[in-house]
Amino acid sequence: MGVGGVLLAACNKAAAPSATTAEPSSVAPPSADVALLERALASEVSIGLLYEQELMSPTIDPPTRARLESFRAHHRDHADAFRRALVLAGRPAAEVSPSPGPEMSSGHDPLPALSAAEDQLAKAHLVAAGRLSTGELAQAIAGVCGVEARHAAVLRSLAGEAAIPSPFLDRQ
Amino acid sequence: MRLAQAQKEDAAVLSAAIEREYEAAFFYRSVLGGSALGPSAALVQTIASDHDAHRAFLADVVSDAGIAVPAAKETYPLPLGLRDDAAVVRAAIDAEEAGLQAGLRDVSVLILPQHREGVAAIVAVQAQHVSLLRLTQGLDPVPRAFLADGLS
Repeated sequence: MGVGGVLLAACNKAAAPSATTAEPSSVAPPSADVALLERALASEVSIGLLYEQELMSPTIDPPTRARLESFRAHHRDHADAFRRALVLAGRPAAEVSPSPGPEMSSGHDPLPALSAAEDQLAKAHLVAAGRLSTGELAQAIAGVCGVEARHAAVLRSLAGEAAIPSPFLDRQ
Repeated sequence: MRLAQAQKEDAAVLSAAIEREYEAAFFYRSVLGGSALGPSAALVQTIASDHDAHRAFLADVVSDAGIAVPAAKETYPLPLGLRDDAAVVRAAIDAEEAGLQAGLRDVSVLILPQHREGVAAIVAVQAQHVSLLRLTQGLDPVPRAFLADGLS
């Protein structure tokens, strides 16, 4: 089972609507898990938008562009997994709006902005791994966190920075 | 479940993680002390140092729970065919991936949030190790969107 399935299964177990309730999301407040997943989804959508914005930069060489497009696709996959989990939990993802991205000037180097955003996202997922109520959810988001951490390290490496500045993600 | 019991149960999981760190340390010490490594030596040294830090962190957690930290064995099995830089890097990729998949499983069974988060912080860095090792071989550094799908 992939992470999407794990998220689905775990969220279903933690926050599934009752069999007799057709529209549970309009009456029940989100569980803490659902709130964390909503935040994770919003962050994935946000960083996807940042990639869209940065990929418009004319200064990116073709190999780097291919790399960035691949990373953007990973974020779409992550967002899809969180979205499916939320829908199953009775919280339609349409309710979730991404947080606004930073304003960028034209002609700047996109790598530092993207590596900083990846680093921030990885750390947010890391905190969520500690707070989610089930081991399955914690494991699933830790798996997404690790991929964001990989993105950040590769982007730092491309930018000529220390790729792994600390042995622990939360201290990078 | 009472906190002391949770700490004890987590310490058992983390003790197994310490054993894996000993094995990783033995591998990296062996290749750093040998002659097979070439251009990847600096990266491998960094990774070895990271594992030392992981082991020390895990040992502190286990010790704080009042559990004896397991001792390292004198020797651990090494992969065969470590004859050049590329072979060592391939073996390191395998070792890192095995370690982080085990770490992900640990995250799913650990009880205390701070332990889950601590191990997840280590898993993420092991994933970074794999990416940088793959870059040295001209491989896609992040070929999958989810760690649970495998890294290579």
